[in-house]
Amino acid sequence: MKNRLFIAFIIGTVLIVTVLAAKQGRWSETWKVPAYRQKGPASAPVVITEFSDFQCPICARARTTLEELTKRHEGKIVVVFRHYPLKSHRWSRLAASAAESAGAQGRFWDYQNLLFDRQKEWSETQDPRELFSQYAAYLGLDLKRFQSDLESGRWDKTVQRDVEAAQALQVKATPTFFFNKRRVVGDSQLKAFGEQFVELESGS
Amino acid sequence: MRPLPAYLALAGRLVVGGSLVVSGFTKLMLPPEELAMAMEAYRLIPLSMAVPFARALPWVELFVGAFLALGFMMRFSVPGALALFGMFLAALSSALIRGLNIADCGCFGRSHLTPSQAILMDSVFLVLLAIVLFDKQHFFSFDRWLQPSKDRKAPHRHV
Repeated sequence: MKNRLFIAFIIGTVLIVTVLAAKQGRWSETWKVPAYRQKGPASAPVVITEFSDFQCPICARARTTLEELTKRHEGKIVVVFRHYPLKSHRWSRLAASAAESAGAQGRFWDYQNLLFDRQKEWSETQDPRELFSQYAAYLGLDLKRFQSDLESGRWDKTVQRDVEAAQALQVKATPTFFFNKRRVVGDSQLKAFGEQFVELESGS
Repeated sequence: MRPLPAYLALAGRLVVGGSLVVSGFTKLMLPPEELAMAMEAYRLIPLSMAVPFARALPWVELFVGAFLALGFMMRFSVPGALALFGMFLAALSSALIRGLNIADCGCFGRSHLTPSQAILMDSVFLVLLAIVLFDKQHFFSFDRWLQPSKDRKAPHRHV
């Protein structure tokens, strides 16, 4: 019996040490995003970093949940938007570039609202560029600049940096939120734990 | 010369135990919230339970799998593996029956196996486990090695 317990202890130790060693160093953070993708007071105690995909239906739903949460805790939360366009969504990367082009003109959040509100419309077209320009015109953006920014490919690196950050943080699904360092995946987890995490992180 | 079932049982132990080790280890490398999200799709456990369950399950898989592959404490590891695969099969079947749209079964972290493929795989594993359960030889196992030498010759029981 003693032998068995000793062997069980050895096997258990080997397993635990292997897992912990493999997990070591898998977490890295690079939180530098353009200021126009941050909403809320910079001194807010709770930084909610959202990894999202404009073509993902759950992300569109989660946006409403997040908005309600930030309204309820005004002043305590700063939301940081990060792109994580999934490969399975044909127009996600282009939509991210369109949002960046709007962001360069100071209307990132309005444009992301439009993208989510009209997600079905643009995601089902053969080529959404025309619709993206229409949304930009609707917001009164400088259309020439918007179109040239969108077509220039200048946002590819910006979007890719977010994707790499997501991968470094082992984000696998959208939307994924980080309440400071607490992770929440999907709209239902956001609804279930969002409130509690804001309170925990803000110390209220 | 050992009978064929003894070799089959050894192969079964290594395959099923190895799969559980890989599955548990892969899941442990992912944040538990990711696995919890995959679990949510089955709509079987409340959300408040999904994250704690997602934290515990991979460790159980890892330990049961390692013990099974090594043929150690088989009195517990074989029924443990049977219970795990029984649970997986029940969850997958209920999702299919209820017509839930589950693109990824959540097995092996994110394997992209559909529920039907996972049911097939788990069923094969259950058959292999049944062979292990009825095997009396425990060929190449810690349990056999730890037995007093006089007992090794006789057909033996689970220890």
